[in-house]
Amino acid sequence: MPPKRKASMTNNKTKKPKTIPKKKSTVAVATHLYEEWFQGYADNDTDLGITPEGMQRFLTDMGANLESIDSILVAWKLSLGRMGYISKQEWMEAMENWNVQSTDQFKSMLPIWQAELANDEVFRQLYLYTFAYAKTTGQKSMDVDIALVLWDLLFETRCAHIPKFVEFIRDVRPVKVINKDQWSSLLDFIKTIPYNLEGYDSTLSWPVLFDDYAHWRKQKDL
Amino acid sequence: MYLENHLRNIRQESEKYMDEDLLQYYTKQWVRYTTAARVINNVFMYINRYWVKREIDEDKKNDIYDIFTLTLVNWKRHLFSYVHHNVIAAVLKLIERQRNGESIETGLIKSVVESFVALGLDQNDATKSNFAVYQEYFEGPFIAATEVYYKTESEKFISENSVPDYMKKAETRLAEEENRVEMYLHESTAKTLISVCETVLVKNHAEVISDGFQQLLNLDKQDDLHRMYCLLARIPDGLDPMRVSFESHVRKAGLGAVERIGQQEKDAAVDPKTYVEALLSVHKQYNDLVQSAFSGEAGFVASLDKACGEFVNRNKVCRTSTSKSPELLARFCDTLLKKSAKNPEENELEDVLNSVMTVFKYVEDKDVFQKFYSKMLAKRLVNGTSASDDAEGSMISKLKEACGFEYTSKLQRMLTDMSLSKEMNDNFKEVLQHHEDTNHVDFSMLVLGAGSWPLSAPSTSFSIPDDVVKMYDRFQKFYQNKHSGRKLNWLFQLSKAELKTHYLKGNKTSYTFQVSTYQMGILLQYNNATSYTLKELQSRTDLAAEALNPALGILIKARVLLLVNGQAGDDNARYDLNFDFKNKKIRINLNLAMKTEQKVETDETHKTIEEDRKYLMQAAIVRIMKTRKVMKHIALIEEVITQLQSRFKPKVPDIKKCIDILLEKEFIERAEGQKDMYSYVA
Repeated sequence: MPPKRKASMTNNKTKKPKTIPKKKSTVAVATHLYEEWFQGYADNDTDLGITPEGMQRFLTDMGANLESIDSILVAWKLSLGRMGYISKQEWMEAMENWNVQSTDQFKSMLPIWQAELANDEVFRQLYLYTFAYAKTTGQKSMDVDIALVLWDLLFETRCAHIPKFVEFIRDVRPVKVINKDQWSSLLDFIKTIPYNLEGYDSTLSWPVLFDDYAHWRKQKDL
Repeated sequence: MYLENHLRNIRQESEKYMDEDLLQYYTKQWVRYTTAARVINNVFMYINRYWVKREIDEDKKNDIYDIFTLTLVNWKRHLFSYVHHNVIAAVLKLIERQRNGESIETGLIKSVVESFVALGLDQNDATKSNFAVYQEYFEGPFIAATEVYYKTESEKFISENSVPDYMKKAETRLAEEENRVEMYLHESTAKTLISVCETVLVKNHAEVISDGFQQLLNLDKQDDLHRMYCLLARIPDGLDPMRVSFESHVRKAGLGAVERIGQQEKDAAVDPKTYVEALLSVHKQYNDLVQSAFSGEAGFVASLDKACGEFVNRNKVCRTSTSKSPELLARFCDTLLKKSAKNPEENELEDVLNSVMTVFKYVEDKDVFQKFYSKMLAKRLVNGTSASDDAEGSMISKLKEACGFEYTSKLQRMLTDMSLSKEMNDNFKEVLQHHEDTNHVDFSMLVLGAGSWPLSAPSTSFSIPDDVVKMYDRFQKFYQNKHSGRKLNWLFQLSKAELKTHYLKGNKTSYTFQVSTYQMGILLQYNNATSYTLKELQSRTDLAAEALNPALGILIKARVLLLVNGQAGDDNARYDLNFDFKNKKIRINLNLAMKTEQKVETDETHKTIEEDRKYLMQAAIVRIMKTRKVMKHIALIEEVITQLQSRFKPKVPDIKKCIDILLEKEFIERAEGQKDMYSYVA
């Protein structure tokens, strides 16, 4: 075993120099460009890279609507890990990945991305990504107030359930945080359960939060 | 040829007769004819043995019979085939007359029937007979006639009479028919005949009969109930409606009994004894009924069990919670096992304990019973109020039998700790005797395993008074010597002491105060001075206010101490020793528990049960998922319920909550793409 591992390690080392020299000039130029571009948004008082303020400028420059799903969509496409922040590494990787070099180029991609969301599976991935992106770092769950805002953003008018569900959480305050299971089950819930809740069975595998929601709806006769 | 002529004569002769006369004639001729045939058969034995046998063996013709058979064949061919209509009509008429209550000559029918059986000749093997003739010519018409007869009769009777009367009628009719078969019919008819009678007499009226069930139950007519059971048991599924009404009747009776207690006691707490006895009396009444009227049939036992399970767990007293019954049952046990003037005799007690187990069997929340029982057992043991070790042991072994070793292991260990402590006390006393400085304090202790006893550590600090601290230290050393590494926690809140008064000049005899350890801590201070402020007492005893104030309160109330100035509970309130203390009794118990304490304790116990259940359910889920790896939601819920049933009945929403928790803790996860499926996260 040990010799093998050594071989692979050397392989790795030789691989990199091999690829880099080929595109040396373009990559170097691009890297330089990306870095300069990054600096334009970064908050130089901290070493966090781009902070919420810079993020806002970046999104506006891209033509994204801050009050819409766009901000999450962009974050998802750029594989960002923490809401409102872009680290230098994330930036460099994202730019290289999409091979964009100007704001305009980015601007032209946004409508394409938005169109993709019509696909349920794409939306589903975005939705599931949102949980990890928006939850408090280092914790397992998301603050319920953030979740409420996000559901508004993500679903807008996509689904009749959401405003009622949001109302339920706001009024009754059954939970302080939303956990991953509740978050991801909500998507299944609105997909499979009709708005009038017909056929909803609280003995099935829905998280208890949804049982409470159904009960609340029934009680209030909504 | 002679035979044919003879038979033709008989036939012609027979046409003159009808009914009974015909039968008499027929039988007479039959007897004569067969007797003659047997004689001839014997005469021609040789032919039978050789010629007939050869002919048959060579299979040349199939109308060769031995002589006796030949005569029968002829009888059948030349007589029977002509007269059977009349003969059978006559037989049936005769039977109908008997059914109508007339007496008839049964011998006639018997021999006619016998002749029919004898005529059943096997075409292929002449030596064997079958019942073809009997079945075709007699049984068929007979059964049909029976059906018509009883149909008419039963419909008429039931419309004119009550259900119990009808049942009596049907019962006698069925017995009559069984008798009839035995008397003069061939036994092969029994099955068909009885089943037809059952259909006509019972099945066709099953609904009406069952409808009468409720009334009989209400009136407790055991005989009629038994009759109904016997009749309906004859037909398939006939008992089902009875079982259903029985179940609901018993349930109502149980609920009613409990409700009556609720009304008597108004808002006051329900007395465990009346409650349990009410449950038991309902159970006993209907258990007896099942045994006597329903022959202890399994279906009825099941209905009884179901009904009892219902009213034991869900009734007026329990209201919404199923945990009230086990609590009351445990309290009832406590009153039985506690020292008291009203304690029953030993063998009587055993009976009562057995009946407790009957109720226990129906209790769903066995874990609640366990909790309360162990709390009260602990109290009995620690306070030394248990009436008998044997009875305690016997009750525990009963519980063990019902619920398994695990259920009682802690209770068992509590008893063991008691006897170990007793031994240790003796040892310790021996050790003390070797020491010179004889102490004037009697000391005994109980060393109890923290894991098995439902006791909690004291909630207050306590500085041990100088008078006893020596003993305390000595025992600590003694115990550490014996079991090094074990830690002793002193549960002062459960301990007690007796103090003798020497300060009262007015009395010749001195009083003995039975006090709690905390009260002892307070009173012993008065050996040094006769007056303290609350603050001083607090700093000397190191007791928290929640422990100090109630202890003082009782001492004030009993006038052992006097509150001389300030408000009780005030830091500067001053407490003086009462030198004029007087009481009729010499021993005075000052170690009294507060009523409110009990209530708090009950609530707390219920709360801990809730907690325990959550853990039990989570543990069950993890255990199941660990073995199954993947499992559907519904299957998992069912499995959890089955696994925990012996302890309590988990509710689906509660299980779901536990699943939520385990999903969050990542013990399990939802299987990819299947939201009603979970998989175990290793």
